[in-house]
Amino acid sequence: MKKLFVLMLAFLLIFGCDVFNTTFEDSENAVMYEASTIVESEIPTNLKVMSWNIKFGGARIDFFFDGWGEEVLMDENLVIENMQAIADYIIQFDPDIVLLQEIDIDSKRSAYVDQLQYLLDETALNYGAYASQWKADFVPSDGIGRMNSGNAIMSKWQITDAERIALPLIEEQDDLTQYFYLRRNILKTKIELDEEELFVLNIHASAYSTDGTKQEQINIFKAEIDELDSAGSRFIAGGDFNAIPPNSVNIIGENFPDRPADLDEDFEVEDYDLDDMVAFYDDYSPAVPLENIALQEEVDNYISDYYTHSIYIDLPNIDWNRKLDYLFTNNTNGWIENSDITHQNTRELSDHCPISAEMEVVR
Amino acid sequence: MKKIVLIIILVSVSFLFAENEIWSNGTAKTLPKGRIEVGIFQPFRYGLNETTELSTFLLADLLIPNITMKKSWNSHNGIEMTSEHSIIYPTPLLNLMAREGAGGILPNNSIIPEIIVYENQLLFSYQISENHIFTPKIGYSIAFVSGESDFPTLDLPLVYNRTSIYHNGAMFNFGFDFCGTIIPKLDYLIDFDKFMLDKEYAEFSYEHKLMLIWKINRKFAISGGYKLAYSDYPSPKQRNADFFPLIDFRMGFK
Repeated sequence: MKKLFVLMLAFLLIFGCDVFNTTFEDSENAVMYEASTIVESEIPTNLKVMSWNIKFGGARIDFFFDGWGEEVLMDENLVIENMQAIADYIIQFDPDIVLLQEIDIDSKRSAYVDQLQYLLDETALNYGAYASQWKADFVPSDGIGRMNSGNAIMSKWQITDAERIALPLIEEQDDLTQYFYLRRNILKTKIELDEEELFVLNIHASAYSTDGTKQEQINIFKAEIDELDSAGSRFIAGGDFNAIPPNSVNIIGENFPDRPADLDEDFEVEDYDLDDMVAFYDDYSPAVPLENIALQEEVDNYISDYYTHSIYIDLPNIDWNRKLDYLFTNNTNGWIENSDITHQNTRELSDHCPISAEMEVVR
Repeated sequence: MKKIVLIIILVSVSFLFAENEIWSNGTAKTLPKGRIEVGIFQPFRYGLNETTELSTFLLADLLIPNITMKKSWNSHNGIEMTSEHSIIYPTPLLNLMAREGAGGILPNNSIIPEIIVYENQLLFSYQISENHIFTPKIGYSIAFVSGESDFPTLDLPLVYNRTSIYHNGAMFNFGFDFCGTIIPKLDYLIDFDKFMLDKEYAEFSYEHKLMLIWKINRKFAISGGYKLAYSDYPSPKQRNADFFPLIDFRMGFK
């Protein structure tokens, strides 16, 4: 069977064809969405912003995508049930802008439910933009089949521009793996708030690179927001960076308590680099200040109110155990003090919990 | 069920008559007795006698054993009637597809039942002029499934319509072929098929093919053309139309 795939690759290379429709330009328009019913919203005094990696509505099912599970596909009822739980949480918290990662719009694994359209239709958020991170007409591996999953931004107000900016691919992968693999990106949008334009940028950096690709992706994201800052534009930037805060005390990948014993080597996480997020904390306002994080974390004690991720929670006494998700802004007054929430009460809904913070709207 | 009974009655009341022709797939004609034709992508065909032809896809037989009998029955008012009956056993191929890693077309935890597909088709060929034949056709496929079954559909063009019956039990098809000779040694084949599918996800599938067949001599032929597939799929966003180039090298014996 491997010979067949080598032949397939040869075909792809010889004819230079994107047969399975997996590739993107360096920069292209994101896909725009609208809720089926638009709910008019006044611009509030304080803008409530949330970021959430929703794990394609897979909740806590043990997927093979996680590196140890068996499941590959969900049926439609299960996807709708999980997405409704996510929608209910968003409705209850009522954010104005939401940055989403790992949202499926046309994937076999999630029964082809367009999850972005579902959330827009079920919540008070009216407009969406989507940038695909993993797209293929058919992935001939592990029963994955058709795939279209990526990053999205939802807003109560019109998104006037949305761009998908390609990030570097993992160089250490062979050509065939890389062809069908995830293509990370920055989703850069512009949202109209009365007379002000607010840029909102979303990233989901590589999780499993060991060749420095993740750092390169994060640096490009930083350069993108630096450019906006230099131009005097106000932005919110966030997402799942797959990187821990600079003052973290637990950094050894294999030491984390939720690492499954039978983890596939392709899913092995490298040791975290404390430098990954330094420049963001140095230059911009984080939703959660470093001093707050430092007050909580202890060596080998994986408990903190600011952790946002755990890969596995079916073991006793294991809960969220690392912070990978962030929100930053260059707003002059930063975020409203103590407005940040790490929503750790959502542990059954995804392997990441949402983070949120509030920011004053310029009038 | 009424359609099935009607087709069975039609086949039963037919009386024996036959015409043969080489390089002739796409019509009601069978191969002459003892003749063998084979192509890379065409089935291995054998003229068992003047009215019966057997065929199988040799390269696929180890993984998906299959055999087709084509039987010429009747000629009435210039219309020749032929029936095709196929038995296909896809279970070994599906089991091979259900694997981890590259080549895993189905999830590793799929439960593949025993499946036997029984396909039947009637073809009615009418000579519309000296060099051109029109062949309407109608058929149905039934999948007999035994044992626990838990595996997803194969949502690919040309594949989905042929394999969805593993889940749904039955499919009907109808269509027509035009074939004939453009110039000596150069034949053409144009076909159009409609497949009626499971309505839960996908209601229809259409296929169209155009082939030119260069009959070099009795032993060699080269064919080339294209196939268009237009189908519903379980994904509402999946592209409906797909184009496939076709080329084949065919050999004949006797």
